[in-house]
Amino acid sequence: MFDPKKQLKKAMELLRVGNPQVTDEQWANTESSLQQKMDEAPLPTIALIGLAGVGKSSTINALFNAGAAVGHYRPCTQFAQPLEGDLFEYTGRRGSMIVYDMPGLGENLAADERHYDTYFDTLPKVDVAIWVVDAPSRTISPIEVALRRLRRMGGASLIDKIVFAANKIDRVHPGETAWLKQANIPSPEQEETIHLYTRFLEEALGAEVPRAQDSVVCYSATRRYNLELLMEKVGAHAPENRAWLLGRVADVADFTDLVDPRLLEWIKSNRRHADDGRRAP
Amino acid sequence: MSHDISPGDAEWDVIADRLHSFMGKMSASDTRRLAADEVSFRKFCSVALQSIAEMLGYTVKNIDEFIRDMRYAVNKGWQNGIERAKANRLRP
Repeated sequence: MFDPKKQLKKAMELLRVGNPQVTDEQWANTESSLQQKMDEAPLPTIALIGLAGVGKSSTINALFNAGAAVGHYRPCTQFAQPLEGDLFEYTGRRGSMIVYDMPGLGENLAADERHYDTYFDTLPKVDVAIWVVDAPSRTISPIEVALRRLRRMGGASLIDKIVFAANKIDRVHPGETAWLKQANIPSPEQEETIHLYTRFLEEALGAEVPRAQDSVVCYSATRRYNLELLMEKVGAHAPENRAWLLGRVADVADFTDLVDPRLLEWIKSNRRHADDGRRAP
Repeated sequence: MSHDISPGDAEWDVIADRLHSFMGKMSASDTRRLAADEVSFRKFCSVALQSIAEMLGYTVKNIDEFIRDMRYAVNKGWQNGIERAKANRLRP
């Protein structure tokens, strides 16, 4: 959990080391001024792009409200409404952010044309965008067209804000029944499909997305699968001096809540600390 | 696996190992994100500090190093970052 107060203390500690000429009083004033600037920093803003039913709400709840569907939504009036879609202030357990909920592509050409305008109008205003697609879908061409246009009109920086998030990965071949529910992980067959699907998305988007390999995540919001990686990529696509604002409100649902406790207990007893990079359950 | 398994079953160890491995990946991802948030926060601080220091009438030295030290600290651990900052301070 990112704790800005703790981080401020650490930052001040380091600055003091490098600046012995600054008095204690000046440091005290500096710290309170920095705290004020932190408190006054504009809320993080996220665009969610995707067709109805693709799982945008469950994704936002999974990343910013520990998976509980009780995040508070209220209409936001402090920013211009997008041309289409909704704009609201979302409050999870750890704080608020502004969310632009925008329509996905592929319903029909006329609608897509309107949506391009919405994207072009909205993306410059957000810190990061999550483009949610249904994992089994291979209908990527409307997205490629949109990206080509966005890049032509707004430059690569607009595209660089987007994380392509393939939701419902638990449904991929050979199907949802193959998911290892006890461990809450894909079966070996599904893992192979996920690998191939990830490669497919990276290659399909690669022509338009500067760092496609860093921009694609396969996950399941309802299974809470791979959410840490999705949140990492969301932060990595935000402006460098604002990613911490997303970290401040992040509250990622724990996938192990859906794991058989006996498995966790067994790992704790038999595999604990086998590797320093792994967390003990 | 359409049926539940128990610790005595042959598949148990295999599945537990796969789960353990995935938990490790998620933990590593979480660690990287927190580290990146820390760097991001210091970027924010460094910009804010410039104006605060100007307002309070002093100059903050080593702002660039402050960021670099933080990147170093992210990779090598916080205490190493402090040590590096101290060494930089003594650097002629």
